[in-house]
This record gives sequence, structure tokens and C-alpha cells, in this order.
Amino acid sequence: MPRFSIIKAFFKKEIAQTLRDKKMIAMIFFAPILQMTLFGFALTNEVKNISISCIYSPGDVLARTIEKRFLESGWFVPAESAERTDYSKILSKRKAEAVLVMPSQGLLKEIERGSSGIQLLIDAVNPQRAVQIENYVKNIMSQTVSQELKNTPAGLAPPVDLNVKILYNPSLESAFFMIPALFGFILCIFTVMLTGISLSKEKENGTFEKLISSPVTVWEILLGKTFTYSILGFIVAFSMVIGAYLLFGITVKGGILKLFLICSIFIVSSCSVAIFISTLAKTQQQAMMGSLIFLFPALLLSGLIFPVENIPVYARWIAYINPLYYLLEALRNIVLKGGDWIVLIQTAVPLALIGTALLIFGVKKFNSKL
Amino acid sequence: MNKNLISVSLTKVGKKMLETQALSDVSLNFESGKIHGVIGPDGAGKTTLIRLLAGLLKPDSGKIEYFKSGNQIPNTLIRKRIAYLPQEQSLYADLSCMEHLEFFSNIYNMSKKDFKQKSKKLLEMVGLSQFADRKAGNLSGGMYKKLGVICVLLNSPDLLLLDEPTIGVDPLSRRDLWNLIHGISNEMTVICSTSYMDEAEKCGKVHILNEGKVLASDLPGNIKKQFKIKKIEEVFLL
Repeated sequence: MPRFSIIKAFFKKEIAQTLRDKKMIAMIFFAPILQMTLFGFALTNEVKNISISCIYSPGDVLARTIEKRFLESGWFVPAESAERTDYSKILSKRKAEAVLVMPSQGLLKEIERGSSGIQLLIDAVNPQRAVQIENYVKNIMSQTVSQELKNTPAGLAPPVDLNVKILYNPSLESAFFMIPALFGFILCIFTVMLTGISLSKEKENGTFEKLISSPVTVWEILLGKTFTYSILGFIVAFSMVIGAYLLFGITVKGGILKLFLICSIFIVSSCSVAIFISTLAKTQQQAMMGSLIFLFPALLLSGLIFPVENIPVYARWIAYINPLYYLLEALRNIVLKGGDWIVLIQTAVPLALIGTALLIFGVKKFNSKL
Repeated sequence: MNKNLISVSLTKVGKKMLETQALSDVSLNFESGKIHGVIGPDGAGKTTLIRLLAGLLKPDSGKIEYFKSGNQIPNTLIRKRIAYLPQEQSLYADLSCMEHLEFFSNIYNMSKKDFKQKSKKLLEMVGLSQFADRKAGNLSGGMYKKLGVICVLLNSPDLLLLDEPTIGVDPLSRRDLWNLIHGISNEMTVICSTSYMDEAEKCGKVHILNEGKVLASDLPGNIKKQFKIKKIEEVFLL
């Protein structure tokens, strides 16, 4: 039978130790509040803010009404308008998630003929979202057509049949959506957690004092540390690329070079976060907690599970300063879509800017703590 | 006094650590080529002094100057010539003795040939040759400290700073460590802090600190004459 006095003694000691550590208190209370706020306000699986581009002839009244209904529904936002010839391009450049191409002779005529000439193109990188988009479009179109045509002589509106074209993930497999993002997440975990813990380990074990008194510069110590774990992260991420090919048949359409390029840019950010964490953490345990505090919101606001488009605008800026968000966007673009250069630049530039800012901040803080 | 080795001069050095005035108005001369003992009880300011000398801390007031062959060396250049062994454990428990020497030889940018010769000599000198492949975490307290010392000696420094190297070490290992320090003292200036008062006798010059102030700084014999005492520790009883 365990003795109550012993349990009480441990309880008293642990509480005293935990509450004496101000950083630990911050972590204990900050993490659940952050999670609650994120899940309550920002994160939702509901498919919203779908950017849609409707292509129709200027005089097509029914098509115009349908477009209006899309936007009024609250699920859709207008995407950049496209010409008839380049609608697949705006999907590959991520300017629209769906493109509805109405026939040039007018929608009404086409519906009367059986409506097979209406084409709906969907970016299916996220398969769940693609299915929802297709359902939304079909429902709104059917409703609008039946409302608009209820006064026709026939009395009943003909059913709307769409020629749906699923792009980038035609079999709608969620593995295609998740695995490129997982490369990024693994790289992030390796670089943030292992580098942070390894730097704190030097401090905790007292070896750091000897290192900084040696004829080495702070940059050399930081590079020596971060380089090792970056290489490890690369090895694991690239072995996942091979695994993804062997197990799921996923190939890197944009080529390994682009993948390597974007991962290298990302590593500057993640290592800088690790350096910053190590300046706050005195022990490996604190570094581990600190890494989780970063990784958890970074993961939730990266688009790995919850689409960033669904986050309310007032909270979306957090995702826009999250390096993992740009990495995952870039990885899905490279792996599934072939790595369009414009999208690559759109993700690499903010990633590089965030990385530089974090690096300056992290190293400055690191220097001030020596 | 060996003029080719480093000497250090402290003038009215003061340093506050958090709320405590760790050192106040400390003026000391560490002549080259000698073993200097910085002696004092816990909290006397020994570690702060050693860390200031190693350049890990900057003084709040006063100045620290380093000289070689009579010429002052800029503080930025001195770091390459100083070796520092902290008081706390400073080795990687999961690396072997040889792996430690290899790591530090890379940090000191030594050639492979030079590393091979020196590491062999140093391991032999401290009697660790047969334990070269043993992990630091599995070494005894005395062997651990010896490994720490030889890691910093690889660089052939001009100034060796040892912060309480004999703390927590058994008497035999303490004797070995002092033999080691005496063995290298003609090649470098050694400044060694200790709270063991009997170790003062092993030093060429003794600097006694108490509550951040200098109580005495002279040859052990002169201090005993000055204070009319038989043992150095009696200074604290006066």
C-alpha cells in the first residue's frame, strides 16, 4: 500500500519545483490557452473561401446569376478572371481552386442540350476539399437553374450535368495531399527539436562554457550544430521521398532539385527558431517543451490538416508568418503539380524573408545570452 | 619569470553578478611562467575571477591586461592562447577520451600528424592511454578531470586557467593532478583556483580572496611571515 506521506512529500517537491520555474508556468498555461484559441476561432475543417473563376460569354445572363450565387453563398471568393485558353494555368499557379467553364454559345442552350459542355476543373491537391467543392458547385448550379427556369414552358428545369475534371490528384487520394506535407513536417521536427535540444544539452552539461572559451566563433558553434541536424533532417525527409514512391507511387513531379532548394531555404527558419529556443531553455526538458510550443501551432496553422483558407482573415496573418505554411505550399506544388516557378518564388521569397528575420533575431538573442 | 609566456595584470577590477558584488577593486599581478593559486572559501569570487581572465565575462570597472615578452596583447587576440577548464563537468559523457581529443584538435585546427603525436604524449602523461576508448561518462572523478585538462592542453596554450580542478577528487587523484600541473608549468603560466587551503603550498604564488576582495597576494612563505601563521588557511581565522 503506497504511503500517503511519501506521495505528499513528492507532490510538495514537484509543485515547488514546477512553480519556481517561471518558464514552465508560462508553458503550462500558455499551451492550452493557445490551443483553445486556435481550435475555437481559427481552425475549421469546413470548406470555405474557395477561389473560383467562372468563364462565360459576356451576354450569358444565367451564367452571371450562377456566379453571383456562388459568391453570395459565402463558400466562394472570386478568383482572378481567366481567358478561355489559360484556365488550367490559373489552377497550377494557385490563383483559383476551381474554374467553371461555361460554353461559349450560352449556358441556357447548353443545359437544354444536356449540359455536357459545362466543364468544372478542380485543384484536387486536397482531396476532401475537392469533393466538397464539386458538391457545392453542383448544388448551387442545380438550385439556380431550377429557380431561374421554373417559368419555362416545360415547367421543370433539366438536370445540370457537369464535365468534372480533377487535376493534380485525379484519384483523390489523401496520401497525395498528406505525404508531401509530411516531408516538410519531419524536416521541421528534426531541425527545430533536435537542434534546440542539442544546444541546450551543451548548456545543461556545462560543455558550452568550455566551447565558447575555445578559439571558435559563435557562428562556428551554431553552424556546426545546425548543419548536423539539417543533414539528418534531409536524409530522413529524402528517405521519405523514396518511401512515398515505393509505397504510394508518389513521384516528385517538379524534380528533386527544387525540393532541395525549398527545403534548404526553410532550414534557415527552423534552425533560427531552434537557436532562439535554446536561448530561453536552460535544460533539454525546457528545450523540448519550447519546441512543442512552436511546433504545435506551426503545424495547425500550416495547412497540413486544416486549410489556411478557412482561417478567419483576422487570424490568418499568423499562418502568413509561419515558415511551415510556405514550405508545405511549396512542397505540394513541387511534388504534385510539377513545381511551377511562379508558385515556387511566391513561397520561397516569404520563406527566405522570414528565415532571415528569425536568424538575425535568434543569433542576436543567442549572443546576448553568452 | 619567463618573458615568452603570458603575464596578466588586473587593476581595480569590479564585477557584479546579479545582486552580489562578486569582485570589488581587485588588483593582482599574475607573472608569467608560474603556478598561481587563487585561494579562498566558497563565494570568495574565484570563479568570477577565472571567468573574467578567460574573457567569458567583462569587468564592470577596472581593466585586465595581458602581456607577452613585455608587450601588451589585445584582448581579442589573447583568446587563442588561453585554455580554460571550467569547474563544472565540461566533457561529453557519451564520447570516448580519444573522441574528445579528436574533437578539440579540430577546434584548434591541428594537423592530423600533430594531433597524433600530442594526443599520444598527453594520454601517456596522465596515464589514460589504456582508457583511450572509454567514454568520459564511465571515467572516475580523477580521470575525468585529467581528460579535461589534456583536452585544453592540446592547443599548447600560453595561459592555462583551471577553476577548482581538484574539487570532488580523491586525495590520490588530487596528487596526480598537481603533479600534472607542475609538469607543464615550465611551458605555460598556470592560474588555478581552489578552496583547498593546503593546495596553496603547491603554488609558486598565492592570491587569497575573500568576499570579492584580495586579502593577500605573495609567495606562500611570505604570506605566512606577513600574517605570522603556520598554515595559509589561518589567514581566514585572523
